Amino acid sequence: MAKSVAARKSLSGLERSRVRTGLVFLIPAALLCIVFIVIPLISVVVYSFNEKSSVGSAMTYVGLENFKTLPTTEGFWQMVWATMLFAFGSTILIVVLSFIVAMALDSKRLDYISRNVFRAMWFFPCILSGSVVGILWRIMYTYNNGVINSVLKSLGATPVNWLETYGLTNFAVIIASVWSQMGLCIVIFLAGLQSIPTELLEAAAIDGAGHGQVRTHIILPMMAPSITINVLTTSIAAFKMYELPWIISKGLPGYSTRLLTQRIHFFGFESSKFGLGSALSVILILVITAISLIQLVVLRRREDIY
Amino acid sequence: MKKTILALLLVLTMLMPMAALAEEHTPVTIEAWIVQTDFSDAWDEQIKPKFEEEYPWITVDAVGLGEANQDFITAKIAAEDTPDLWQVDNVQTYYDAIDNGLLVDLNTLEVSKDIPEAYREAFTHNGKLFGLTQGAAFSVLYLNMQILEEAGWTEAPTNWDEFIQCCADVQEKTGVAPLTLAGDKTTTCWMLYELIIANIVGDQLGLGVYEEQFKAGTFDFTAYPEIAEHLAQVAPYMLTGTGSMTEDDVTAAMTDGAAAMCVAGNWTSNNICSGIEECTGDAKYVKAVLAPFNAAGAPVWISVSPETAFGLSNAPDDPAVVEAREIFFNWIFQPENFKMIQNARGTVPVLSTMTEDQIVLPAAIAEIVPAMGAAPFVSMGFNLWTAEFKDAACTALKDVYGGNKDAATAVAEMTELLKQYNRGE
Amino acid sequence: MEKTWKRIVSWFALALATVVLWIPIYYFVIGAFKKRTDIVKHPLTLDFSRMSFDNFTYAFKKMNLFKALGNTGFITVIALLIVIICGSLAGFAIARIHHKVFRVFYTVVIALMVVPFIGALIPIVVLIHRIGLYGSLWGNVLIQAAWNLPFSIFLFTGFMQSLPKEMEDAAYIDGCSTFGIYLRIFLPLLKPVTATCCIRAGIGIWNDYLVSNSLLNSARQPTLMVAVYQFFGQYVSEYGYAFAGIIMASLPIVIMFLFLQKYFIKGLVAGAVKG
Repeated sequence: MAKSVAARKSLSGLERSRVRTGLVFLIPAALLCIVFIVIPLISVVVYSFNEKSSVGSAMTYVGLENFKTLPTTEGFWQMVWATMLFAFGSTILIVVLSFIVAMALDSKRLDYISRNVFRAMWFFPCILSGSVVGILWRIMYTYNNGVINSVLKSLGATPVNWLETYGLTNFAVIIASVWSQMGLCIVIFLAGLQSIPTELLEAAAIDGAGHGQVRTHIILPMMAPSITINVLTTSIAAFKMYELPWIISKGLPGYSTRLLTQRIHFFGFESSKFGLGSALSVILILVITAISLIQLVVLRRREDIY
Repeated sequence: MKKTILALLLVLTMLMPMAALAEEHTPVTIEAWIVQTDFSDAWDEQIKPKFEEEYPWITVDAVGLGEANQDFITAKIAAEDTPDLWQVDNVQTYYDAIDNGLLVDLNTLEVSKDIPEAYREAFTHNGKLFGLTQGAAFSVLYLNMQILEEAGWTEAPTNWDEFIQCCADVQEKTGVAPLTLAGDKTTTCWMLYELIIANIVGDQLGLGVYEEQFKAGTFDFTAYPEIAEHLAQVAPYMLTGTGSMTEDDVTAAMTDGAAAMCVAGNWTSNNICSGIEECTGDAKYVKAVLAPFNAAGAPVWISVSPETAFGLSNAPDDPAVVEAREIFFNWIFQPENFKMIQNARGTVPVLSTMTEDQIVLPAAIAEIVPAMGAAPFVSMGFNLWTAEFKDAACTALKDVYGGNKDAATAVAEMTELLKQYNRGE
Repeated sequence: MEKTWKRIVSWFALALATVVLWIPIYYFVIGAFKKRTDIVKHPLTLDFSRMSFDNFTYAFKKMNLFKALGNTGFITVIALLIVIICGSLAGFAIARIHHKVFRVFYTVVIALMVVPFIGALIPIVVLIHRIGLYGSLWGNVLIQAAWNLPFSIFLFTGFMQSLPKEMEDAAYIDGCSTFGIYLRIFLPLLKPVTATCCIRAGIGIWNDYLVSNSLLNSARQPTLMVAVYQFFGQYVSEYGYAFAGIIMASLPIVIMFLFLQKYFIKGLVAGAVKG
């Protein structure tokens, strides 16, 4: 005990110099974040307590009025539900499907060339921007002449009204988002899979472990960090997304696929109620932060268990 | 002051071949904000070269092309980098802009006298004129007469009962969807509904009363039970997917013969008419009428609106730039220049100095322009509503078109919405 | 014998899934060679007699492609450099040095990751205007760098936390400074996570429309996506032009990806193994 205290004391000089250097290391990043993210964010927080038009700088302090008005605006709770459904639905689908595809792409059964070609092909949709993906899928979902319905018709099935059916449209929007975002998750999973030492798998095989056992007892635990990163980043991206789903469904039918980010855009750029939009931004930021922190704590704890 | 500029302008136009005069000016660049991509080709090939040839020291660049025009101008206002020539609509953002002195009060400009009073009034806020319109927009019912003939209609229906009968016949006898419209765009989504309303309340209330009540928030949609009845009657005849269709999709549906009729603005007539012609293989099957939503024997009410208008920036700048932007603004509203925009877009110009031979319209539309001019009308929704009402009401309406909501429920909702969200004028 | 059979089945299963994944891309690419009505009416048909390069020549003419390419390239490269340098420095401090300040900073960074850009857009425009960077590519660069920074700090921190502590201790005994340790020991190991950052942030910056449209003047400083957007009109959407424009705008990044792909995956693996 005494020994360790002494050791710590002798290190403290070094530790202090390390902290000083570390602080210097932080400066550029901190400066950028403060000036270009935190300061605008403070404006948003200030606006959220004011009535402010999107044009001009005049504003009047209204206290918590904006926060009280928000829940009474048209379709607010439907939009909250739509946002949750979209964020969690797409996150779960993206992570699960990416994991399956990554396992298939990592398979030892694949030869060198097809493995690389397939990997490139699965990553490819990622390089298109959200709005481009939105336009593409919107045209494909069109009831008349849309590619999907054309294919269904040629197979003898009845065409589906993708963009005007409650429930189905949520699914349609999520599929497009999954399509466009799987690539990055797959890449991270692939990296995780390839970091599993082959000796470990070989040893398991020698011990007579079946495929299922290898999967649950070796692969899954080793993949826990990549799962954490993918779940966290995908869900944050889904909460912040607005262009892709908007272009596909315009929030229809009703408010069933209308996301809160799209509402922020509506308040700020269409109805010229920037105070109200800012209040919604503040709420959304608090909610996503809370959800992300919960995810982080839960997932990290799982990592520790393994 | 403005008169001298105009005089100067005229003199300059006459002296144009003498390029020597131009050299006295320092070169300036101004920016024109262009929203409608359908004249972006005409812009590049005709408008810009012609202007720059006449005023060699002024370069005029197009900015902000594309769909997200509200986003564009809101950001530019925040950055104090507004374009020299604006495109304005009858909505809150531009009221804020004129109130904040970002736009010139065009009443001082000689050229605004060439736009009829009614169209100037539409773009007047607190006594200030902030935009001169590109033309008149009105709602049209386009018909594929080949499909109608198959259903036993050699003539277009002339009143609401005939129209509904026609829809029923088309559906029954041909299996083609009777009607469609661009539900994705709020203007066209609302158009069918406002035509129903106009023909029900128009004669009873008289010209301009519906608009007044609408803007004040006192118009009660449920006070006229026929509104919900008619909406419920027509909704089942809509092509599936109508609620989410863009104007482009409507063109495609008419080209494919997927729908027999469509309600749309005159601004898409070029596309829709050529689509029907392509579908039927013969121009004689292309027909456009004022939507016959009237009771038998009653006059047909239509909905009209000024098109998107041009506004002039009032932002402080170099005197040479201020002069150049005024020159350009005046130049656009000269008939020989304005016709380039009109011909490219195929809309109906209201510029009184334009002559008949300068105006180019699709045949089917040219046929009904006189009737349009004589018909009683209501203002299109976007001149009357607030962004909140537009959003919520059109969302409800799309649910009706998509078969997800009962017409009566939607109509009742709209009354409540209008009480809450109106312009309070 | 059974193994070969399994191989073939799994290959075909994967190939089938890949084909389904690629239907939209196929549709998109052939659409770039078609007229508007053909795209809508015959989306998947490959009829060379009705296809042409017209959309490409038109889009090329309208987009001011080379200037836009130069601007977008400049913004992407410089912003990425800033992101990587600042991100790795901050990540190193957070991951390797134990002090409350760094833990607090890390929490703040995670909180900043969640801020939706659209909500802060107008204050950002006002800010950039006030500091005199409006209309300059640098304003765009700084905004892109700052908004991509939190995520890369998160990645760099996570990666560096996984490296063993012994490496540092040995270097300190050899008399290395903290900066020296960052430079000589950690930086060379950061290739994989840097590759991930580059791909993730790079694609976003390259494809950006919102920032460029709000902070730059589209006539004086066109960027690729702003140029592409002019084909999505209010009245008529010329999908063919847009598709052709998007293909031309994305080509550089596709080529870069194909070129870097081997390194990118290998790099990730090499780094991850050490974790």
